[in-house]
Amino acid sequence: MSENARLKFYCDEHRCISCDGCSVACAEAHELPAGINRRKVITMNEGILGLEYSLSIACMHCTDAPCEQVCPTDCFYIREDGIVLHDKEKCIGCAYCLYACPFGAPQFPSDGAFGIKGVMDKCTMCAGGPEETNSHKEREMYGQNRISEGKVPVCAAMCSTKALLVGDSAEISDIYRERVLSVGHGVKTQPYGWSTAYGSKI
Amino acid sequence: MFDQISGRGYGEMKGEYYGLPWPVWTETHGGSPLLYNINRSVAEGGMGFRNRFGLEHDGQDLLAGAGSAPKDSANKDGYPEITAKNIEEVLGIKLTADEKKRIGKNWKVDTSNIIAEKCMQQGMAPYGNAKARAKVWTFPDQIPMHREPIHSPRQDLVKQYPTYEDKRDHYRVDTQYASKQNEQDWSKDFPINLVTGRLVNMNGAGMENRASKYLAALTPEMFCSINPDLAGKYGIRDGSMMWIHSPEGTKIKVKAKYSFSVPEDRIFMPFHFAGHFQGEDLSHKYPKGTKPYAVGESANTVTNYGYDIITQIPETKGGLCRIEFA
Ligand code: SF4
Ligand code: SF4
Ligand code: SF4
Repeated sequence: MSENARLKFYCDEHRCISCDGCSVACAEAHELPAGINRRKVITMNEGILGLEYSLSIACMHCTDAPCEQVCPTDCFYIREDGIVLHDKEKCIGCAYCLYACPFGAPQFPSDGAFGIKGVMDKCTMCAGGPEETNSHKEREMYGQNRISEGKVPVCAAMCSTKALLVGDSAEISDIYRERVLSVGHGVKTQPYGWSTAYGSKI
Repeated sequence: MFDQISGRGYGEMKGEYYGLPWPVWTETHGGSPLLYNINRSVAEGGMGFRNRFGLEHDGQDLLAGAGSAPKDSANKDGYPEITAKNIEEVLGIKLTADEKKRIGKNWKVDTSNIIAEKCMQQGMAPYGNAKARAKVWTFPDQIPMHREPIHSPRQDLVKQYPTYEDKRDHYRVDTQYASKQNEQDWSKDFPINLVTGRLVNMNGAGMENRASKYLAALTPEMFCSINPDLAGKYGIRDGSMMWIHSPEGTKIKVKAKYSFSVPEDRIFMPFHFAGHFQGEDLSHKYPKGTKPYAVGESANTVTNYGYDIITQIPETKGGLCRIEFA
């Protein structure tokens, strides 16, 4: 990872098989209460030939994050690596961020403002929150902090088709370019399934 | 350290394969990643087909043809699996008296591993080099052929591709095939194909994963995928309840889920639910603390009679049903 890395997600719609491995891994890892979907897999045009596709969506950790701009208590902060986090002790659960967010990422527990995961909850890119890193309190309020341990976020680590990528945006785009360029160059240069994933007839 | 595509090691891992794929013939062998690859020597992970079904059948030589041994093989042709008895002749070597004393009866039980070690030196596979078998002479259909399901929507195909004769004492059960198929034209009363299967997010489990709250949250209710064009004919709306009746006389009540992934002539149901039976919620009968997060009708209540002729696995993909609005 370069020093100026901006961490980003990318979900490849040609690969995602809507297995929900990512969303279930996320919920299990962070012990999310039922109904809190930090990550969700959406299938469009189910069963319609040629039009069906699935995508896994979570907080996209926007560079110019609208959620941060509209928050009346200013609870959001953006880390140097681009991860957008928020302070649950400042958050009042007003849901303005949900209005502003283009992806429906902010989640609100149904068991009131004082549920174990607190007020608003969203994908932390597995980077915890403002509490002391890897403390019990951080874990209880924000879930695991895998980034501090040098681990890949659990959703992307779980993705068996490698549709879901996460990391330095420059590296992610390199991987995607390489995949696109590999199309049509024969099975020997591609792991099994690439020709299917990228639509070539070889 | 390993090539992504071939799994072959490089640098420090040269000579190894990622994950040590079976068979790993000796303690220094790196594994064999492909079932059949004669472009690589056996010592480096290549192999031919195993000599598994004898040397000869109906006058046909079952060993591989001349010149078809994996690369660098001392024996260029087909050869039988290696035993203590044939090793000198097949490998073209001489064993010492000590080796003769220690060698096991054949490659499968040779704990001395002399057979495998000698084979590697000769570039030969301990299990032999034989032809692949495309004809299974112990099966009723020696070469797979189409047979219509017992409950078929097409009588013309039943005539053209009838099922097997009834089989007595099939794993101790007298099992019906032809007599069931010909009992009546099942498609008259049960005109719709019934297919059951697994949902992709439940990979690896049937009912068990209903005990995971996160998996249960993805599909909290039993459902039936139905094409809107079929559903519309029966007045079944997306999300309304429907009955599914089977030729066995059983029925289940499930929620209709409009879906274009199933054509108009069939319905699909997942097999991940239990706890309801023929419209009745019996989940109070689960032992205390064991009730799953999600309960519903079991698809298997309406899957049709029919069993595999070899394994007796029940038929869950080729059945018929009748549906109605509930
Ligand atoms: S919550 Fe929404 S707006 Fe805020 S960073 Fe995430 S995706 Fe962007
Ligand atoms: S990065 Fe972590 S918190 Fe975000 S969706 Fe993935 S698993 Fe969940
Ligand atoms: S784990 Fe990967 S393939 Fe499965 S739903 Fe998520 S992104 Fe798609």
